[in-house]
Amino acid sequence: MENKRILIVDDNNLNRKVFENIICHNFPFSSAENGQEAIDKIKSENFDLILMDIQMPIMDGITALKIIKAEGLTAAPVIAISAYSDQTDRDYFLSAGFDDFIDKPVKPKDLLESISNHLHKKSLESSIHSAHDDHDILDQKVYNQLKKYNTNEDIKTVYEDFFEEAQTLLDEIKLIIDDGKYSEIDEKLHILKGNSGTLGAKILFKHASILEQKLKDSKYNGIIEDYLTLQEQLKVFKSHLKELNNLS
Amino acid sequence: MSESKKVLVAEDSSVIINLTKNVLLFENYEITAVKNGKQVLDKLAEADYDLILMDINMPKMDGIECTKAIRALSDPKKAAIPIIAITGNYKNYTMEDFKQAGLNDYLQKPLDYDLLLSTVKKHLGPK
Repeated sequence: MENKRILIVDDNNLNRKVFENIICHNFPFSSAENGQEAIDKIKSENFDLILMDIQMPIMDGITALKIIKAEGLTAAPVIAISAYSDQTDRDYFLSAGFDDFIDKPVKPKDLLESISNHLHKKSLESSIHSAHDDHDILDQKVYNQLKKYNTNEDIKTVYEDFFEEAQTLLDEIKLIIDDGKYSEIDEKLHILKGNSGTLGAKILFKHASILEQKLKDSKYNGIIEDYLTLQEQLKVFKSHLKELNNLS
Repeated sequence: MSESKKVLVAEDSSVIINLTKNVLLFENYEITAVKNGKQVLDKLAEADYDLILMDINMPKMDGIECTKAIRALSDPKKAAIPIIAITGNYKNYTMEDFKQAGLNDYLQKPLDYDLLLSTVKKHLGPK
């Protein structure tokens, strides 16, 4: 998760420093001093999570959040940080659309835990969300072309081969990651990517392509998450195909 | 009816081998599959083929090296066999590299089966 970027929004210099010191070991970050500055940054940069103070000059945190939601500026979770702390306040913040709420003064452990929980939840949500979008899982055009040249029985065999081979490749990739020999991943990944494309496994293909590009750029952070995403997407594709076969 | 044409498919992925086989069987080609460039040369030493479909990215001996080796064979018939590359353009080879190695044509992955069949037909000529 080291590659996730965080935006810290707080008007108080000391508070910002505290947040920055807590998260700088785990995440790259950027800081803003009020809601308006935060919105400007969100419009021009990518963030995976936003820590938002509530009381700020120029634009407060609640107004900023409302603009973020109304204009759909980012899907990143936004965590409210405030000294308000009774249950009514908490409920109010959550109902306003914040994903979580953290009390000031902030405890480093709580902050880091909340951040990683939300980042993890977000990545799960996106895979579950895509799991329900059938068009994204299987490229129907590719599948129709397969049907043109292959009997149903052949198609079944081809996909079964693919699942078996993909699993073997992923297992091999895992071993390579464990050994830290990242430069050897691309050879395996390339087969997985090619076959995902050939068989219309769109999401799997997309994630394999993203990882391939990372490897080409020698960016090895978060490789294990990328591997887990591929595992997850292979499962999603497998169950989608199974469903499809049961229907037809 | 003339004898069916013999196609050698060189691909390290069994998924692609099976798919290609299924597609080529439509034209009743006789298909032999191998998994790397070295095996291509072994098969070629044993028998004649009418066309080779060759993945560029293969272990042991990749498609470019293998093509160069085939073009250098002493048997003129074997050295001139049409070779079609299958490529995901993994090592960033260019069309120029393919031509220089002696490849006749290439197919991009993900494979378009209509194009696969028509390209193979084009190089095999009429039955």
